[in-house]
Amino acid sequence: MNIAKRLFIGAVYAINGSKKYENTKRFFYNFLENDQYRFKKYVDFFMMILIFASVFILIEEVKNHLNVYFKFFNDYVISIIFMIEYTLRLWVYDSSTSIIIAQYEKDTALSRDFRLRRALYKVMRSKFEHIRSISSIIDLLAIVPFFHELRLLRIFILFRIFKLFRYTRSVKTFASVLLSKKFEFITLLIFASIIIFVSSVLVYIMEAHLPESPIKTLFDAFYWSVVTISTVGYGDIVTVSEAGRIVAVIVITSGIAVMAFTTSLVVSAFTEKIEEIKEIKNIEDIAKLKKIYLICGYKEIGRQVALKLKKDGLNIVVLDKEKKYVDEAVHDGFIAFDHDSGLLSTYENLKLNINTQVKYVLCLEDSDIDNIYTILTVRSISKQVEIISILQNKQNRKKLELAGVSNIVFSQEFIGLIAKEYIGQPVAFELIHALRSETNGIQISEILVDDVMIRYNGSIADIDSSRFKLLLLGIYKSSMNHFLFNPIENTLLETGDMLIIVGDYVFIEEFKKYLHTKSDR
Amino acid sequence: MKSAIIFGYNEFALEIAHSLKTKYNDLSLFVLEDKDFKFLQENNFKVSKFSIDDDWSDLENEYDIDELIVFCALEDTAENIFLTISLRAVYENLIIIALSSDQESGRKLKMAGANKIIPITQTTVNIITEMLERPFVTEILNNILYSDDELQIAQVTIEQDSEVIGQNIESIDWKNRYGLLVLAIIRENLDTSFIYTKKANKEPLKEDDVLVIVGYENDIKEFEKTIGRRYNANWRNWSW
Repeated sequence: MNIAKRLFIGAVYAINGSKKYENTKRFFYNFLENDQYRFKKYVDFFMMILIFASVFILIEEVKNHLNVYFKFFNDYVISIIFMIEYTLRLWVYDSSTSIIIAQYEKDTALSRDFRLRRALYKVMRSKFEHIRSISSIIDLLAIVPFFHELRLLRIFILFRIFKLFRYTRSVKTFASVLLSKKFEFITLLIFASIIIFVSSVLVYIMEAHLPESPIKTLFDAFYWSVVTISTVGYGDIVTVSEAGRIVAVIVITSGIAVMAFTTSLVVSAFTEKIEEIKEIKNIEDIAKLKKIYLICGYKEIGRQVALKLKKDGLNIVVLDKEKKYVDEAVHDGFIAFDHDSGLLSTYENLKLNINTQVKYVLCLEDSDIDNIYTILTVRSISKQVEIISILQNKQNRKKLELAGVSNIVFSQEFIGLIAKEYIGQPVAFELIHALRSETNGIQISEILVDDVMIRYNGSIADIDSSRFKLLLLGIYKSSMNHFLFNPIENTLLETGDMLIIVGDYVFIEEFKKYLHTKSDR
Repeated sequence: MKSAIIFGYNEFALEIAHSLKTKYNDLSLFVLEDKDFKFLQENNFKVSKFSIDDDWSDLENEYDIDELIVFCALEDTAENIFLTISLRAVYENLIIIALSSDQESGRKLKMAGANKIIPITQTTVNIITEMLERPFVTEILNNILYSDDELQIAQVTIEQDSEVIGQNIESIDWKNRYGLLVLAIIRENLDTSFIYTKKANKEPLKEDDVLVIVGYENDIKEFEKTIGRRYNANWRNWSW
């Protein structure tokens, strides 16, 4: 291997390993191609404004003489920006250095001389893949007006409009939907082309020699044919001979078929894809959410928990592997996916980051097996997320704990205890129940002690809860992890403690305000 | 003798049986299946077999209906409702507590004549949502209600000649004198409507008022000695 090659490889390795290079590339990639990136939409918006400006200038130019600066702006500034964009896209499309290194390492492994030309060929081929993509061709054509002062080439500015497709997602979805019916559309296109071709030739033969006929050229015939088959029928060119009209009848009849077929194709493409589109939309929606309550299993319990939490305005995402429950969840107004919560791929597909986005995972499936699966899966992704699961069968408690659940709800046990309380102290029980369900305005609630509150209230003695007709049940000392019932006057308040208060909802709110202000003491 | 019957053999029935064991000496399970019957018998439960279309008129030969409490915890909701209605048809005064899987069957059970319905789904849902919304409150309430922790909730009837009669809630220093907190007072004639302390502050206490108090076991016992007696639930007065 000669010196030049060695130097080249060295440089490639240096670039590939460089953090700065990678960061820069990632930075531009995010701005141009990463839909999940927060600031991409601003770039998109800016580019759209440029496009509209460009089109506006083009239209103005037709009849008015434009200011030189406008022309300059249109021809150079916008074009150069587009050119920079094109170059950047070409750059971030793939990693040339990786391709070269792969080739180099392959050659070294096979102990042969590094084939630089082959490596470069691969680089070019990969880049060319990008260049020949439709969106890239449109980008390139949009730059063309920069090079030419020719009037005809002005029309290329219109390609800038096509560039809009890049910046609006709905168009992309629309295209992808239509693409799913590619075969049908092509068939239809071929059918229509044959009809147009045959009918234009026929009508030309039938009419072109007649002096009274408006069809003089083959192009006239073609134009007539397209206008007729599309069922538009301007009537500026009409057939005059009987033979011509027979052709017209055929074209008109097939025209109806073509139009009907096209419409139904588009509609069916959409109905087939609608679920997918919705899911894509949902995935985009949840990407923005924080503090998600992930409900796994939308059976009776899951449903009611979700509905209750919804009232508090929490972010809820529902997962259930059965379609009918997901439909129900969607109907109830939740973001729901028919994915198995016990599979790793689910969270990958949903682009859901359990560590940063999810606050609670609630395993509410009817079967312990499903719940254990979900717990294990979620735990394998995140060590710290809170997982709450219901337990159906007592024997499985240990298994749930082993799987890594944070909290178990075993309703059977609670029902047993409730039965006992009902019998022993029905009034007390109903009272607690009333407090919990927050009917009739009385509730039991927790107030977090924060720094502001401590500034005004040093100890329990400073808190005058009876003034607000509230009952201070006690204080939960976070430092001791212990609940102090009916604390004595000189109990000190510390940040992080919880005051447990019983009373009217309105007074509790007042009381909170009072604790945080110094006024009238 | 106070006795209890639990219908059904499942996790719920067993948990109920388990927690009632200390309160009722005469506790029996009624089951539908032969194998459940045998299994329970081998495990030293008092167990009987029954059929869903039994006529229950001979129940009074074995039990004092006025002292009997019945739990309908059958797996099948329809059977549960049918059982409730069959029992109610024979005994007007029998206390029937029934488990319902959802709200709809809960309403049916109520119409069938159950005194109290424990909604399973609803209870589970409440536990879960509370755990999420108010974790500390939940923990504390659960401790007070269900655990054998020292902190307890109790209902005490004020007896004749008690020292608190004539005074109002506000004027008594519950905290320092008794070490208790009063959550509510209930007047007999008001049935189930609770008078919360904040509304009843000025109301002088009368004999037979029931106080719902929270406190440590010892303080409650002490309080009972001086003020009154533990309230014995009179189920027939409750219209749930």
